[in-house]
Amino acid sequence: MPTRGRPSELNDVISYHRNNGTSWYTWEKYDENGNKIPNKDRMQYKYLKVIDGGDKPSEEVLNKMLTDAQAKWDAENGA
Amino acid sequence: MALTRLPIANAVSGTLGVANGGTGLASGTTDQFLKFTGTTAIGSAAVTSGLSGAQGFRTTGNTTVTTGSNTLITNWEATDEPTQGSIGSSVSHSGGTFTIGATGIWLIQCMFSFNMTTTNRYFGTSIQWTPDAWSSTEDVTNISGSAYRDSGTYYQMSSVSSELFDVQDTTNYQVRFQGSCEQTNGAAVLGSSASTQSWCSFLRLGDT
Repeated sequence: MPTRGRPSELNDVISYHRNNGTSWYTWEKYDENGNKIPNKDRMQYKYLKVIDGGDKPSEEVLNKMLTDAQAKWDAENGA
Repeated sequence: MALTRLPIANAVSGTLGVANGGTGLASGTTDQFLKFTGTTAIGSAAVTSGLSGAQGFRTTGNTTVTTGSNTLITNWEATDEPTQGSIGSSVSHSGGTFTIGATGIWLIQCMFSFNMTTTNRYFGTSIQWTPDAWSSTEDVTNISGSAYRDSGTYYQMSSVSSELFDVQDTTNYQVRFQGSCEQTNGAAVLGSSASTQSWCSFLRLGDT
């Protein structure tokens, strides 16, 4: 379940990639062909959209944030 | 004496004014009502009732909030769940700033869901407002709440701000929403493109 319990998706953790006094990312609403992406499918790296003018982190960096958060949760919850 | 009855349809010309108990009208508009437009004048008018503006927005992703200063929340979208409804489209958003394109009394509300990964003692939500396109500004609300994290990855709470605004200009009256917390890099305003977690809404209640 996103945002509660064990982190399960990028959106649960990547806001902490940078803390610059504003929101740094959102998710694309339309794909490259102009089709609306279903809301449940938007939160994937390929649809990550940077909105603070900064660089887009690599998928590996953000995936590591997720796996690190999951490991921390597992350690704290005896999983 | 026998009475002589006159057929009113062709025996009377003109209209009977209000002063003589009439309406002074020869016709009206379909689906409208009568109302006094002066002390001795009646007109046909539409009845304005209910809200004339209602729009909702939500955050699409999380935003880490900054210690000691307000963090501007900018990742808004018009809420687009299948159940979503709205009235009008006079409120627009760009880069965290909302412009209210219709004068009137507006009820503006926001609710932020927070989570924290380090110990925090307060979370805050504020509505920032300008009547002159940010030449001057004021944090008109500063609402805070508390939650204590003793262990675990995520602890959560929420905070609500609400204010009635008298919008007298359709271009320069703007609002922004901000979050704050006690600890650096330890809390986030939550958002999701799949389900609403933090939101703001604009309801036009009546004329200014």
